[in-house]
Amino acid sequence: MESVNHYKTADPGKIDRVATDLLRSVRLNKSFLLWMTILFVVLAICLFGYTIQLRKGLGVTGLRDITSWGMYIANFVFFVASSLIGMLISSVLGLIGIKWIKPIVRIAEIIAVAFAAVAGLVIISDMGRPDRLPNVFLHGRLQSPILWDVTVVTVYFLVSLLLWFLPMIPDLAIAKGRLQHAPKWLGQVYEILSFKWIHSDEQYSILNKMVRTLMILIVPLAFAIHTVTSWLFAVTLRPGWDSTIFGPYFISGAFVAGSAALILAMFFYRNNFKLKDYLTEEHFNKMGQLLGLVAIVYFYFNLNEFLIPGYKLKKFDALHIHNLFSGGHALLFWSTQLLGLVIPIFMVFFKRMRKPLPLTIIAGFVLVGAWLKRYIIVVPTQEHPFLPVQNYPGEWIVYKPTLIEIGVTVAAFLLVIIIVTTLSKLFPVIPIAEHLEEGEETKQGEEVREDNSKKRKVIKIGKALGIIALMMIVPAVSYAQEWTVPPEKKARLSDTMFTQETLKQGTQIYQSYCKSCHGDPGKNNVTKLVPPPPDPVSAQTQQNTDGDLYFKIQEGRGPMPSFKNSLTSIEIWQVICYIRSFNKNYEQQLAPKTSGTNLKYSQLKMDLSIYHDSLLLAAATGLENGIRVPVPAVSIQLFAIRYFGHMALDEAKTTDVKGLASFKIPEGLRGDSLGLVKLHARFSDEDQFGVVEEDTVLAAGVPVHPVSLTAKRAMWNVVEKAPIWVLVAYPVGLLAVLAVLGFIMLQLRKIFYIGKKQESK
Amino acid sequence: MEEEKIDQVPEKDESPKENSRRDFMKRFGLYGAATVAGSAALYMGARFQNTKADKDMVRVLTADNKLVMVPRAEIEAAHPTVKGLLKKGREGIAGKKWVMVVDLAKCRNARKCVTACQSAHHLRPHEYHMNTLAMQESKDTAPYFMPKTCQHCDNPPCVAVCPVDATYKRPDGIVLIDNERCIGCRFCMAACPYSARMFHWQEPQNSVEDKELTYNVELNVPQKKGTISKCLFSADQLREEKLPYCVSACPNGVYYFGDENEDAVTNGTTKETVSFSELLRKNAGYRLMPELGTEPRVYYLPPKNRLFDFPETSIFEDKHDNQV
Repeated sequence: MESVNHYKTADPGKIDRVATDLLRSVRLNKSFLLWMTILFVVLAICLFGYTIQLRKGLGVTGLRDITSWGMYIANFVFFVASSLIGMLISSVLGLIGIKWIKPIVRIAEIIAVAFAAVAGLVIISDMGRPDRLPNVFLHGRLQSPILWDVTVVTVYFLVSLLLWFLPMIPDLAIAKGRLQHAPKWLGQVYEILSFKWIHSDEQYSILNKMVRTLMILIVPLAFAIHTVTSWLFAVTLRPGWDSTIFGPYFISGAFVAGSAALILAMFFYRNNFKLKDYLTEEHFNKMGQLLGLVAIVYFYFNLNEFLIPGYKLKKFDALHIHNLFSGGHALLFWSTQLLGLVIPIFMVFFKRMRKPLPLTIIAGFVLVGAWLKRYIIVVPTQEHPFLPVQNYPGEWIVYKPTLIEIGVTVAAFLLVIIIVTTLSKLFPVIPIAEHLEEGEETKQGEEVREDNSKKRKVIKIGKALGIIALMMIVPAVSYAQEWTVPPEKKARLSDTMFTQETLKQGTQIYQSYCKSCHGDPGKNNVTKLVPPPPDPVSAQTQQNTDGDLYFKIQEGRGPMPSFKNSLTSIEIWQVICYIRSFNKNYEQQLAPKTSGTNLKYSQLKMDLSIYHDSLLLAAATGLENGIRVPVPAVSIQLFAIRYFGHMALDEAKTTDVKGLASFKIPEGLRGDSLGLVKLHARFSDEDQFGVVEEDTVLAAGVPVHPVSLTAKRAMWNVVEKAPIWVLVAYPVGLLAVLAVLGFIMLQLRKIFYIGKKQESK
Repeated sequence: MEEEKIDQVPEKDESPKENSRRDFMKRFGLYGAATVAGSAALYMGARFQNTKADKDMVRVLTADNKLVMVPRAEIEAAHPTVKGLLKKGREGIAGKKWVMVVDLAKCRNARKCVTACQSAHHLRPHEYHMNTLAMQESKDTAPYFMPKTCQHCDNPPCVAVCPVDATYKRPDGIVLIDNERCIGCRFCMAACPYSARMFHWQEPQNSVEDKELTYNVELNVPQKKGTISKCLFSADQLREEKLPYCVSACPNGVYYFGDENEDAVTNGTTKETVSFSELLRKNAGYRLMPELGTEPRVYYLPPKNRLFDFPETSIFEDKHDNQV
């Protein structure tokens, strides 16, 4: 990382010794092949589970409509989190000139590369339609965190790969001719990948520039990758996810997971690759301190994340907190928090615990805890949505991962291990060139500030509310009294004879309008209402006069709806006909033909007009002895014609001696864009006058200009309407990254030609 | 095995007719198929008919959005309408602003709405576009039943998070899902505060029978494995000036549905049309969780003056739901 050319100044003997040590692991020995065989066999078994999932759908997992994100998403978050360690170690600590990290930088990048690469695959395993992955790019919406996530994971992987590879170029050149155990082809690969490296000062200077550029670039990328991942949750309204600190909370947690993963890898390399002189106890000591530091920061975010909602106990936050602290997930929650975070923090305070073996064991707990923590973040929140979870089979409600799900998750881990093993067996895991610097060991390491006076706060949890049965007393009193029908209405009769056709029509109307409460006649299956709706067969129904029935159907009362605006009088008589068909003793009496006004007039009609902007006049006229005269004392109903039916305007009105009935236009009656309203008027007493109706369009309403509900450029709208800053940010960001990558490629080319020029000399 | 057999029959039928079909297409243009279909017209009711009875005939949706019977061999010719339907499904119905009112005082949990919905959208008993829930605000308040459809929010959190614009808000207010585009990430399910969405975890019901149907984005039929489905306000019905399936299936007059621009809603049971604003004003209508700012298009009337028996015990007794 320093621009100094250590290779030139180093003692050739030291170069030989260091190179031999660090290249010893580069060999495809039997144990490596055996290990890889085992990994691939287990991987194949696990991937078989995935083929079942592909065939049968995500139903083979424990996921259902309530908990629709589970282990896969938790695993994805964990993988993204673990990959962030590459950025922390090589960039943040590297850029501020921390020296002790030099031997572990490449290990950190291997972890970053492996986890980032597999994270992209893990998310695909969670997709219902993995075959439609291209849609993300074909129809991608910039307002969705997912498009950003997919982009940033890919870019982060590429930059991490470069940060692993570029600093290794001098090593590949050093390794030339020193690979004793490796196969020939690997030497050729080294030859190509070393880009004609000749250890010239110029090449070192170019390489240094490239690496520093990428180290700066990867900081915002790493923050972006995990912040966007946290937004998959934080942009929702669900309690437990609806949090403003999710970004930093996730990032601080990521460093904990990554540090633990790094310590485990260091321990493995130290012992298996015989690198005790390079990965010293001091490195573990420092990593222990770093783990302690990041864990304390993470603990601090945990405190905020749980204490604040726990303090206020808002209804749904309270449910979530109770569920974690004392409910179904309490055991998992407390063991994760204590064994995976709090106790490790206390442990690493002690120097003895920062020795390789104890620290590795602690890191193991932390890493497992980190995985379970992601599970706790993802799953429990979904089990308590805002609305109650009902009418689902029991096994749909509580999420239990299935064997296939576990298998696919294990497969992801196997892939990580395969990538890590491959990279570290084919290439040196510790930088050789970096190690040539004299006085390698650093004295001024990072001092981990520890604050063990941090008070632990206890959240008081109110006891769950008691369960008391609640008696519901339905007020029935007001409907107990008799339903009285005005005498003049009681005597009302139909003027047409009931026929088979009337009965047929009546049966249909009964089926669609009445049956739901009054049941099938005689079957005793009326709906339990208060008061109970009478069965048509019952004496209670049949003792009514025809007029009673007509009135009751027309007007309604309580639970019995009024049908005056939805059934015409002819239709009401048809229903009465049906009701009477269950009464053998019924004999229909007809209305005396002479009593009505209907015989007096012929060619009845209505004319509608607007009067003084606030009244609608209906003028009823008819021909009497060949002369058109006003018809008084007719009841008229007025409707506005709406999309699904006729809406009554005002009450039914009776015409005066001039044959006029006036209706008040309801305030704010909505018309079309010109204020026009389709009106429908009809005589109420169809049995008296026959069907007399009139449809007219009048400017009786206020003009309404329909506005598209998607017209506004909202914060998060359809693609064409996305906020401009989002539309700009994405391509600009992407272009900037691509520009940097292009710059890197040009620099590589430069390095290559410097070497080539030298060669040709 | 059975699956395969059924698949193969139409293919064999089709191949010899390929040429004649092409000629036909040339003469009458792309939408000519609709005319042929019209000649075989069997109306919407056929949706619920048993398909096994007519093996040579297949139900398809025509360009003018009618479900008709056509000879199986013509099924290819109808394909262009998938795109047509998708386009129409994005445009919505001009000038409309759909709105639903649910009168909680009348709901007695008959669940006729649920079954009508499931049968229209080819769903299994536990796959819900809509659900009726037993609710209770606190242990001393009265329990009541609450039908819950998609709220068709004007500020829909689900639409905001969709990575591929598969779920979208229409100009007329309906939130729909394009099952031909959905990638199955379930981000919208996570985002929906009303738990209104469902996912096809397995092969949907009728996936074999529906194979020949032209996908209608306004009906979500045929349903597709690995994608989201949810309440559509019966967008297909609305085109035909019919009330949504749940609304017209309700025996108790719970639902009103209509157009806010007309300020009119029609009761699905009594078919009475009333003023929407007046209905809300007189009955103190409200929306679910207004504090979330989702601006639902579904309104509720409070469960007061109920006239039927309600379970006498509090729902807290045996339910581990979130109502404590």
